[in-house]
Amino acid sequence: MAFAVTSGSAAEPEVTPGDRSKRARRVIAALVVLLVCTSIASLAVGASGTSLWGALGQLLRGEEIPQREAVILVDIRMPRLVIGVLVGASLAVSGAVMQGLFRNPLADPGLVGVGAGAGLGAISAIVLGGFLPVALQAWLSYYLVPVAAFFGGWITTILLYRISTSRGRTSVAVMLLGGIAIGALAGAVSGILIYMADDAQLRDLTFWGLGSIAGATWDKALVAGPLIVLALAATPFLARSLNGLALGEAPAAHLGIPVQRMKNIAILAVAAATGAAVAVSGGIGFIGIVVPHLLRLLIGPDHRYLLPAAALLGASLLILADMISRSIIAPAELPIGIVTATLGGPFFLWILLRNRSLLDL
Amino acid sequence: MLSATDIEVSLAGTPVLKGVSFHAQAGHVTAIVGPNGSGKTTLLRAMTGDLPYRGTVRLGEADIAAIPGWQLAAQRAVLPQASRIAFPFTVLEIVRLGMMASAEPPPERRASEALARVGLAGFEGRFYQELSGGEQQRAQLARVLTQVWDPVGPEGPRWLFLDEPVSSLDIAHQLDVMDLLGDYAARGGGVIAVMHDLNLTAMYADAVAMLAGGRTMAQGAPSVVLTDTTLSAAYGCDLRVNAAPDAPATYLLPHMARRAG
Repeated sequence: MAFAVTSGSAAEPEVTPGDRSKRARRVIAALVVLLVCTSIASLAVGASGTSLWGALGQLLRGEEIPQREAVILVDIRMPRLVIGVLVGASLAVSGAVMQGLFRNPLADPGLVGVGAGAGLGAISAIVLGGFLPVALQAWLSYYLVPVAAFFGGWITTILLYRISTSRGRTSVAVMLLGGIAIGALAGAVSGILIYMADDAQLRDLTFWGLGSIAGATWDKALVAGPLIVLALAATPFLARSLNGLALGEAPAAHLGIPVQRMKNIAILAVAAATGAAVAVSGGIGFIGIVVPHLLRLLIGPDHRYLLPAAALLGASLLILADMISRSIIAPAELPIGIVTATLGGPFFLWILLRNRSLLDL
Repeated sequence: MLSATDIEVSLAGTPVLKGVSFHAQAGHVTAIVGPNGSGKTTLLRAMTGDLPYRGTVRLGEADIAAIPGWQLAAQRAVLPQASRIAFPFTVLEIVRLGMMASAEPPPERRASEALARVGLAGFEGRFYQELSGGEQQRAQLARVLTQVWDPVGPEGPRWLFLDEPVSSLDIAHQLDVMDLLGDYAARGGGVIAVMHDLNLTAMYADAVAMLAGGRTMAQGAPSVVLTDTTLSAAYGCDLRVNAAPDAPATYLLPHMARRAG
C-alpha cells in the first residue's frame, strides 16, 4: 500500500490513506521553484560566449547593464524563454487533456496525427496564403500560420475522435492506427504543397519545420501566446470533468457532467494549444506523453493537480532541452526536437512495455 | 415514483425493447429479472438516459429527458455492470468522484463511511485496478452511495439504479449488499436493480418486473411474479417455487425431473 502512510507527527497533518492531494500541492510548489530556476539559468546560459550571470545580477540590483548584454537578454533570450515556456506548457497540457479525453495514457497530439494536421495547416498557410484575398491576408498577417495550424489540429482531432469512438467507447487500437493514417495523409498533402512551393516559401518552410525555438522573437511570442493562454485557461474547467470521464462516458454523465460540451471544449483546447505550439516551433515530440506520465506516477491522475503540474514541468523540461540544444554543440545549435526525441523515445518505449495491457489490442 | 411507459429501444436496427412499461416506488427494492437478452440492462440504460428510446420516463412528475444533468445527478445514481478505469486512481479517489455531484461538498469522511458500508474499510489507499472484480464492484457501489447518500433529499426521494449489483460477489457479500439496498429503500429511497439471482430477488425485492423477449411478462409483488408458470415460460425450463417451513421467502429450484431424465 504505497500511499497508506499515516503520519502523526505535529508538523505533518494526518494524511488520509489514498488521498494524494497534499503531496500533489507540494509537488506543484516544487515545480514552480524548478521553473523559476530553469528560467533564470536559461537567461544566463547561451551561445553568445559571455555568461550573463553577472548581467542578471546587475539587473536584479537595479544597475545599468552594458548595451550588448541588454540586447542579448531582452531581444534574444527573453522571447526565446517566453516561447519555450508557452510551447512546453502547451505540449504537456494538451497531451494530458487528450489522454484524459481518450481515457488512455498513450494519446498524444504528436503521436496520433494532430501535430501532423496542425503542420499541414501551417504549411498550407505558408504556401497557399498568397491566394487568399489581400484584405484577409492583411487582417490575419502574422496570425495566418498559427490560426491555420489551429484549424488543422482541430479538424484532425475531431476526425480522430469520430473515427475511434462509437457508442461512447473509444477504441485505442482504432485511435492509434487511425492517427497513423491521418498523420500519413496530412504528411502526403504537406509534401505535395512543399513540392509546389517557390524558393521564398521553401525558406520559410525550412525555418518553420526545424522543430526548434531558435528563431524566437517577441512577434512570434505575441502571435502564439494568446491561443496558448486561452487553451491553458480552459483547463481548470476541464479538470473535474476529465476525472469523471475516467469512469467512462455514461458514468460521467450520471455524475451530472455535461459530457458532450466538455468534449468539445477539450478538443478545442487541444487543437489551440497544439496548433499554436506547432506554428511557432514546428514539431517537438514526446513532451506531451512523457510529462503527464511521470506526473501520474508522482501525484496520481487527478486532473485538478495533473494539468497545472504538467504545464509547469512541460515548460521546465522544454527550457532545459533548449539549453542542451544550444550548448551541446555550441556555437552551433541542435534542433530541440532532436533532444526531446533522443530523451523521450526510449522513455516512451519504457512506458509502452510497462503498460502493454493498456493497449487493449 | 418512477414510471416508464411504452419504452421502445432498437440497437443497431434490431428492436430490443418492444413497448415496455415499468413502475417503481420509492421505499421499495424493485428488481428487473428475465433471461439473457430479454432487455433488462437495455431498459435500465434507457431509464438512466444512456440510450435513445421512444416512450416516456418520469421521475415523480417530471420527464427525465427534461431534467438538467446536474439536477438529475443529485436525485439518482447509477451503478454500471462493469467498470474499467482509465488511470491509476486510488479507491478513495474513485469513491470521492461520487461526491462531485453534490451542490454543497459533503464531509471528507463520507467516502470512508461509504467504503465501510460495502465492507471495504481500510481499502482507501489501494489502487482500484489492483482490486478483485468483486471488490471493484463494491468500490463502485460505495461511489454511487456517496452520490445519493441520504435516501430522501429536499427534492424528494433519491434513487439507485443498479445493473447486477451482486453479480460478481460471494454469497456473504451478496447478502450484505442486498441488506444495504433494503435498508436504503426502508429509509425512503428508491432502488431499481437488474438481478440475475432469482433467490436473492425472492428474498429482498418488494416488487419484480419480469422481462422476456423485449416485453414485460409480469410485474408486481414477488409472490405474484415468481410463480412456476411465469418462470418456466420466461426462462424456457421447468422451474419450481418452494417455501421452506422456517423461511419467510420462497426459493427456487430447477425441476429435478430434468436431471433424472
